[in-house]
Amino acid sequence: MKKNFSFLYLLPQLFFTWLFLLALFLGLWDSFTVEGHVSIAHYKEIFTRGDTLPSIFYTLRISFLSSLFTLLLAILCSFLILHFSENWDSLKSILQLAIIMPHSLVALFLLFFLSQNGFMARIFYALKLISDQSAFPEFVYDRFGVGVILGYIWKELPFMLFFALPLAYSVDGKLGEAARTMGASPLYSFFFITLPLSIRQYLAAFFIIFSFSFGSFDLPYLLGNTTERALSVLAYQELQRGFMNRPTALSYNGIMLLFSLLLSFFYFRFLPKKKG
Amino acid sequence: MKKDVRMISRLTAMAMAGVLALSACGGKKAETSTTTAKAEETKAVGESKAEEKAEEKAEESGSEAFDKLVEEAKGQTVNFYGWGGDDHLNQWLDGFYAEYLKKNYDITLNRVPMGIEDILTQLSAEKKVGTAESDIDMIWINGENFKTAKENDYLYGPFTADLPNFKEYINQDDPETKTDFSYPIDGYEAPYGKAQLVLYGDSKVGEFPKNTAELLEFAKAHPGKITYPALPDFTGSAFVRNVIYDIVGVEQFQTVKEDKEAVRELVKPAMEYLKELAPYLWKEGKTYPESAPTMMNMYSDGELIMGMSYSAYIVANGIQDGSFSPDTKTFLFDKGTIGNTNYIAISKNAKHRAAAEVAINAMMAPEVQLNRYKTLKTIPVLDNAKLSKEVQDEFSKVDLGEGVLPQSELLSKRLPEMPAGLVPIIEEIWQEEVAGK
Repeated sequence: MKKNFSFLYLLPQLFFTWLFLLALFLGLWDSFTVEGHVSIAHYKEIFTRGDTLPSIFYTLRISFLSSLFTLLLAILCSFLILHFSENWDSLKSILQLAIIMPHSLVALFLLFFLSQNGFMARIFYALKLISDQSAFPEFVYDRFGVGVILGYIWKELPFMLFFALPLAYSVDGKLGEAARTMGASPLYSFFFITLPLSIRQYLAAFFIIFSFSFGSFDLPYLLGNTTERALSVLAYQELQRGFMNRPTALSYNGIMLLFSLLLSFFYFRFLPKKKG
Repeated sequence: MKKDVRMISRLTAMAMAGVLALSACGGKKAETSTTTAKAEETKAVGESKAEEKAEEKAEESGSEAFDKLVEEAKGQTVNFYGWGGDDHLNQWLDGFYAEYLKKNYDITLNRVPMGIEDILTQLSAEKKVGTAESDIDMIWINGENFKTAKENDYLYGPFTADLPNFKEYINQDDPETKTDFSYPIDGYEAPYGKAQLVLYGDSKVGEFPKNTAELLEFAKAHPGKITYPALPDFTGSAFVRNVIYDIVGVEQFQTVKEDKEAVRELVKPAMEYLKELAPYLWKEGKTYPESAPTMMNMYSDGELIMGMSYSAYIVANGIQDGSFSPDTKTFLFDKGTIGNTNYIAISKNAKHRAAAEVAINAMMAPEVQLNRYKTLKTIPVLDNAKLSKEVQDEFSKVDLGEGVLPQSELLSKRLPEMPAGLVPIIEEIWQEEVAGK
């Protein structure tokens, strides 16, 4: 009796997963068909274009760097939070607020603060720290993608903290506390006890945000450069060229899907196994 | 104490999430209610006139077939799908137009904001599955998308010949009535509004450039203060096509083969020009704003001294709502700027076809075009020569606002669009040759 009921509880989730996989499959199918029969012509087409490979490198760069910095910052923040604050519940609400903020809003805020016509530039100019507003360093619209990386860190850091802190709290509360009563410094107890035991959550979140930022659209579109474009932006612009270019646009999506699958493979293969 | 803090922060988070969600959905309704109030005012003024004319029309719109459509459409709801990014237009549609339809034909307008790619995706999916009835009735469409929709059999037609206002008030010989981006319409879409690319700038800066050579000098005099949206943005694309027209000419593009190398050869001088212009543009041409609204914001902020738009009267609206400085003025190139018409089409399996036809017919009625001209300053699609003297006077009396050009000047400097197939080719060439070089 009990087994049947559990299956029922899972039905809504199964339905949505099925719907999602169906959409994914149909999109992928469209990218592999030309006039009805299977062909990789669309993929050949995009790889002969000069901007696909640079775009892949650019997208990899911004998603990897933003995820890596987020991971390092999250670990640092976790240490500070665990050391200085006891209360998870109020922190949780603040993190939730940060997480529900849409990416486009973050892009807007970054533009407001860091563009050469933005708040910081105007303050620097008013304080005579720079000779002209255009002397303010380029944080957005640049070739490297600094603004995009900052935007991802802004959004993903609360997410990673929200994802990983509960475990860190519980480990710290038991084993970390035990270590400290035996004379370990807070720094030592965090980096040698709490962190290794909860690293799995951090790495899991790392893979999630890496995969997500690789395919994400709003930040690279709003804050990016005209020549260095992310894969998702290329897909969007392909669709803008005309509805009949949809299969080609979907082949860009196919590349993103391939990357996600590769990443999932690494996730399941190499992530440290759960301990007890 | 702890529990209180928890409660309060939870409630705050929920309240904020609720506000965010509601503002996304409720925003449209809020706007509509303020528009209703405004629409009431403007209506009270033109009401008696509109009523008279509507009665006259009802008598004239003679043909039995159309009367039957009006009968059938009574009480129906029509779904109007189209780009929802223009707030002023949305307000006017939900206000004056919706009320006009309700009052004269008992048709309820349901405006559905959706990008044209998504609309075409839905139509394509419906066709694949073999849907008998589509929720999409009216579609705001033009150019390459119209060509795609017509060739793939997503549209119902021909229908424009059944509409009395189309026969009566639209210039049948105008190339923009017969072709859309040089592609034959054959009655599958009806004119909705006219657009023309205009340039605008801060008049305090000095004389505006009248052609591309003067634009180069203008840019050299004000480095870093001019730019255009990156292709394939619609407006940026139109600007580049306009530069091509100014440097290379217009007629060649009606006949050139839609082959990338042939086009590249033809537009070479224009690409050279844009490369020469680049170092004097914003960010030395290393990057361009990704869309026209972003560029417009930069102009409003004072980062740029010049911009461009497909809405001919954007300066008037901008000055009115405070986003543009009062010194902003519109200008054109002497050789002219690109203009096009946008249209409304009907989907092939539209559930409410009768209501769609009646609603489209109503859009071409003089009082509707006049009100749209008054409120949104959209160039009307009606042939001035076909209007009664009274109505002609009404049109010329409309106060267009500050910083804009009169319709006569716009129409005298109007260039036709290139065939739709050339547009993506030119966009690719620009990306390869000019962007970031």
